[in-house]
Amino acid sequence: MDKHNKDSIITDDIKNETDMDDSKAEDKKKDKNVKKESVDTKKVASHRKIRTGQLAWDKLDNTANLFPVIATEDMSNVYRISVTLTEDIDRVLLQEALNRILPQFLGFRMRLKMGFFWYYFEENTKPAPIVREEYSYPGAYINKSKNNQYMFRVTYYGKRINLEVFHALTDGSGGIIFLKELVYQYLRLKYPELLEVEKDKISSGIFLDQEDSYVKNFKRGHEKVYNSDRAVTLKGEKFPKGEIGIIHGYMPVDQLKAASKSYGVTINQYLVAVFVYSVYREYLKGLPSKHPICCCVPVNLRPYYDSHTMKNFFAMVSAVFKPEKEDYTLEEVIKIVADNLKEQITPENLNNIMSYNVSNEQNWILRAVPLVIKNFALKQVYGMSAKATTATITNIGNIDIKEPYRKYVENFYVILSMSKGQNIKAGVCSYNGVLTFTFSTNLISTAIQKRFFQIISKNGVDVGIETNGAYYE
Amino acid sequence: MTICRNCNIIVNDDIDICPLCHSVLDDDMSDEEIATSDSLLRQGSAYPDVRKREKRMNIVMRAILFLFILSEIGLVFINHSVNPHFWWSGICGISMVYIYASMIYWIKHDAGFAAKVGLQIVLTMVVLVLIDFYFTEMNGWSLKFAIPGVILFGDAVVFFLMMLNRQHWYSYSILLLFMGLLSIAIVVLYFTDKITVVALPMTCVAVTGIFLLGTIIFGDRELSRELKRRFHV
Repeated sequence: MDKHNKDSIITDDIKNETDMDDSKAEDKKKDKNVKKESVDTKKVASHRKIRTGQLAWDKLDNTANLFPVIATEDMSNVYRISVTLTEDIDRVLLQEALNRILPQFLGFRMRLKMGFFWYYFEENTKPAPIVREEYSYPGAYINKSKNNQYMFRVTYYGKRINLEVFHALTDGSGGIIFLKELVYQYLRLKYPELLEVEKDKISSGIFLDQEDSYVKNFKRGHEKVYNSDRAVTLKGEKFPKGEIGIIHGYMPVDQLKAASKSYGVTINQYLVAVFVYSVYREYLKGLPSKHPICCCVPVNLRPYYDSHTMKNFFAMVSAVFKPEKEDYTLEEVIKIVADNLKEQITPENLNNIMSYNVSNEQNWILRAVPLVIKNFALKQVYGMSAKATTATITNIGNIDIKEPYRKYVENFYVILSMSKGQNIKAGVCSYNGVLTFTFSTNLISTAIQKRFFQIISKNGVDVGIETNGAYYE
Repeated sequence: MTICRNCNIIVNDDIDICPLCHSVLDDDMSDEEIATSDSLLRQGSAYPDVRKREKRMNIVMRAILFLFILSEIGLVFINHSVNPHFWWSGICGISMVYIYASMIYWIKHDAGFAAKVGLQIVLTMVVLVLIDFYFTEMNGWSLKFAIPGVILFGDAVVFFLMMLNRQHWYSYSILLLFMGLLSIAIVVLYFTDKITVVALPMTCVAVTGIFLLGTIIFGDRELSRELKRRFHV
């Protein structure tokens, strides 16, 4: 919308809104602008429909096939990526930003439908989901028949924008691309002076590729890669159904780098190892256990296959630590976990994991089994394999923001929802020299988190924490 | 902002006790600690209290369940006092279970509209046959009249939905196919002498058949694309 247009609408509105207070009038004006934009978008969309006459549709990728089957209100398979800005979020502008960028992202403009043999995505022609103030716990279930049938939602609270995505759509790498573009668009609307240095469109150079990189890079002749032996399951008193406890830990990246270097490992290996050690100390009380502590670590496969897909493309490796004696030291655990991860994160092993996953999907006999039976079988297999994991730690790495927007952005967060058998998870990301390690859990006890942050603090790293208030009355 | 001297961690929550070790927090921070907390936590990330909203929804559903149970107890009592030879309160009980299960399904389940309508139709048929079987000694009214009536009603619902959502009318074609299958089942019941009254079952078969035929002929590419999507292997 050009400035002249906007100004004329605002002038008309002011005549009718003399009784209203300034903020309400302002909100209504913006709402009208947004409504006008939506009507324009609808006109364009309906015009396009007449010409092409058919909707896009797409198969789910290999990983995505599992998520609709196992998703429930308790196990939503929804992750949240949040960003905090320097000022309070303007709902109307955020809605407008979403309306503008969504047409560019076909992968997000989809609704999930049930076929006879598989779930599939069908292009969603409904208006963008309504942006609302945060109204549920992070990672709450996304009902596929609500939210205008979109499989993601955008909420805000104070200075924070939240993007919550059903994992079948895309992984964290895809989610962060979408969130960044949403933030750029929002900031361009909020601070029009940015248009002097930035074009009012999504960033050039980002890939909107919707290829199924699993199928493209799959090779036959793999070995069985997963260990289905039972792992330690963290148990304890839980929050009421639907509630989730969040603890964000903030740490300077340079201090973390120094701490992990002193053990001869990377930051990621260090964080995973300290977590495993915390579980060993707080849950197993430093005693031997017949079950190992298995911490799943998703690995982004894009760099290994030169892929730029916006769909899921990751593989899971497991940091395994089986205490066979009493009183392992932190150094010992760090070495075991780091070696374990190093062994697994190799191109050959990752290819093996990916190919093993895809091989079942490629089997024609299995493909031809009706979805109702597949669902039942997948649930059983998932139920058994879920026992082999204690927790998951995902690291989406360093997030970079384009220079003109940087001064408006404070921080990023990643929050994972709970899975069967995994009562604690963590999401990691870093921005502007600060790493944010976010625990999400349905357990009331904070013993593991306490041990985790205390160890890091003792290793000379400044730590700040913040919770979502679930731990207080 | 406060600091936990036991954990040596800065805490940004508005609370007096450390959420990790439960020791009392210290709000007397040195300049260096304040500088560290400012650089780490910046403005922080506050969360709303969403617990109230979750509770409200649960209370409404529980209130309905409570009322249903209370009503059923009352109805059983009245039934026993007034007419103990015919347990009409059982029909009310089944109906209330049917209504409550439907409410839960429509509110909580996230299947599409067409899938919900399909399952609702099946559930309705099961309830009608159950009532016929247990309370009217299976005299056949459910098969002769009620179930064909439900199928005809289903046809009307599909037609209404297709008209309402003309742009995506084909998304209800699977539901229409399902109605077709139910109609075939009615024909089978007729030829196996389970149904003797012919008028309503045959009307039901004819209406569904014409509806299906029209959809196939006029549906053209839209329908074939929908079937391709739904049945991709």
